[in-house]
Amino acid sequence: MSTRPVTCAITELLIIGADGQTQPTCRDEPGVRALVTAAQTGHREAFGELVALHERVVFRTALAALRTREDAEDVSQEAFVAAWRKLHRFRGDSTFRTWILRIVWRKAIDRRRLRRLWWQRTQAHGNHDVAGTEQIGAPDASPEQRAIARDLERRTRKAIDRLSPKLRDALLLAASGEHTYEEIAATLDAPVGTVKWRVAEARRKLRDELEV
Amino acid sequence: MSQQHEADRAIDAIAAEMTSAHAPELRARVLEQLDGRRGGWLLPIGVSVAAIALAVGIAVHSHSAAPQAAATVARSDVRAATPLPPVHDSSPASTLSERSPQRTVATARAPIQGIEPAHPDLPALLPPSPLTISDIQPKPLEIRPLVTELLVVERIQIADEP
Repeated sequence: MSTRPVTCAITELLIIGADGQTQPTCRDEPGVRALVTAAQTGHREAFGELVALHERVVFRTALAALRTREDAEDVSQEAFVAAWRKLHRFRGDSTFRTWILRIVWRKAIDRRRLRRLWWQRTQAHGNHDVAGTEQIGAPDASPEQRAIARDLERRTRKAIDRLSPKLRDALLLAASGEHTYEEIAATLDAPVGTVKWRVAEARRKLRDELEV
Repeated sequence: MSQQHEADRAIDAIAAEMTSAHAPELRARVLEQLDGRRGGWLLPIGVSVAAIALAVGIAVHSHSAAPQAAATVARSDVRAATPLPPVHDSSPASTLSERSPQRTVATARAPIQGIEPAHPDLPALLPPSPLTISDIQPKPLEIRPLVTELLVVERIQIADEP
């Protein structure tokens, strides 16, 4: 009897049905699988390669939940260390990427709960540690247009912060460009349709608030 | 519709920027932490084993304290009558199996010395008198016959008697 999760099977069906591809999405590529196997036998360098392959998506996932670079770094590190310790339990029912994303997400949510008060204070002061110096708008815009774009960006950030955690998490994960909806669904432990609705609802609320 | 699409794109761009950062040296720090924890799991296990050993030791000691006290009382007469010869641990001829009982008994039968006073003017405390079994035996109950004195009642004299 197969022990593969339902979301994995659904994802496979969706991908196969949409693109006609037969490669299942719930299994790692041979290279990653070999690295996982080597790491499971205690090969640290192989695990280091897995870290290198996934550190970006893991860090951005943690950042989406925590919004501070320091916390995201700590949680990412903790997630990889936890993955190393639990690696013998990884059976390949999902991809290593999905597995590590679930680990980092759980750790990030735990930390977010612990630091809720601190987080609220940070929100109240609008003090974001995440870099946000990229200018919105055309590079050849006039100073007035740039000022308007900066103001819009500032208001959008605050509006995103004011979203409920469920809507904000889904939006930030989707907007990061690192995840498919199926991965987000697996990470958040929610159906794909729910994730899509949350993203759409987050955008709608932001549009209403920003009146754009 | 196009305006909404543009707004969504702007929102997505800002949302993407909110998570657009990278963790420098994350791989190196993870591996360093793994190396640092190579023997780290031994520490909690060692502490746990030491704690369990300490708890067991205390329990064994507390259980053995009561029987040892009773045995000390029982042996006190023999102790006074037949002092044991001193144990020579440095003797090469003696084996561990020979020495161990003697050492144990000699340790248990160490003579009780008087306590020297800290101040020279104070008299030294005498060693406590040895406790024997007869000291702690209950005395037999003795029921003596109840002695009652005779009750003498003088005769009542009535003066107004005819």
